[in-house]
Amino acid sequence: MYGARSIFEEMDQLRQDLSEFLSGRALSPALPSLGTMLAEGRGFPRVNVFETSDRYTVEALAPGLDPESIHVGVAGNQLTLSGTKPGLPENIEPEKCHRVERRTAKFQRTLTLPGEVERDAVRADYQDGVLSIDLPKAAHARPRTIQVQVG
Amino acid sequence: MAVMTESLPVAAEATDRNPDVTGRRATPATREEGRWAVPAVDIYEDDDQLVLVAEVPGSRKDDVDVRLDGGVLTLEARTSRPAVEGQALWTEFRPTHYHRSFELIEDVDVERITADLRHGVLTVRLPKAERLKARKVDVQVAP
Repeated sequence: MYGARSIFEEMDQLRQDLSEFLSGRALSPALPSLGTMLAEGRGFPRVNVFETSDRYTVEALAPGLDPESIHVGVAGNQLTLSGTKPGLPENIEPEKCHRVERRTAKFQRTLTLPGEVERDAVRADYQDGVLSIDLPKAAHARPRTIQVQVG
Repeated sequence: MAVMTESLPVAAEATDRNPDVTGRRATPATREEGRWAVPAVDIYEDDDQLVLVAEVPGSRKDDVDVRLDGGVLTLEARTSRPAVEGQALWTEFRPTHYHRSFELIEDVDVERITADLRHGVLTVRLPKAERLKARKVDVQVAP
């Protein structure tokens, strides 16, 4: 079944399966916090961070989130993303599930940016399963060009 | 007394048709430029249909191709996100196209297959052909 996959992908699959098991699909709903911890530990969602002279841009690969659940918080140079990624409908019997590969859980991830950002100017946009966050740098954190007076 | 007759597992992966991500065994569709990945899927069924849910973040509606040919269901989704401006400080993912095929063991109603893309998640619903639906059979119990 996984003939074309590398050992790393197999291991990732194992971790996913374990996480799905622990995140409550197979157990009682009493363990959601454990699922959350695992999602944090493995770094969901995966992110890319870009920088220009006046802003940071963060892109997070997060398909299938409940849009209402997405929360983007900024404190100083810390960016926190959280939300809920729902899984299969709950009324499906286990023997009717032929593949369960998608990671689903509540998640929270905090990133530390190299500098402070202008909190009130942060914009987030969720499109095609990608969460994009535009973070203008705080005025004091931007590079300044000093005009040199030539006398 | 009511007895439910259930169909057996309805989908198996057509592994030999899957492109190797490294490109060594790439199918014609994957010889193009760009990265290809095998999307994570959930597959489940209820009495009336098979449902396949695949994660294809970054793909838009026009980038997605779902086809059923010779009993093989193929999903293909391309990504065409514009590059983000600036210097990359941290990179955990790269834009990728997605490709995966499944062999359908049992009959589905081809005319009524639907596909829906929402927030980077592709949901394909394959209604079971009429004769495969779970049937209720009444059994008379002798007194």
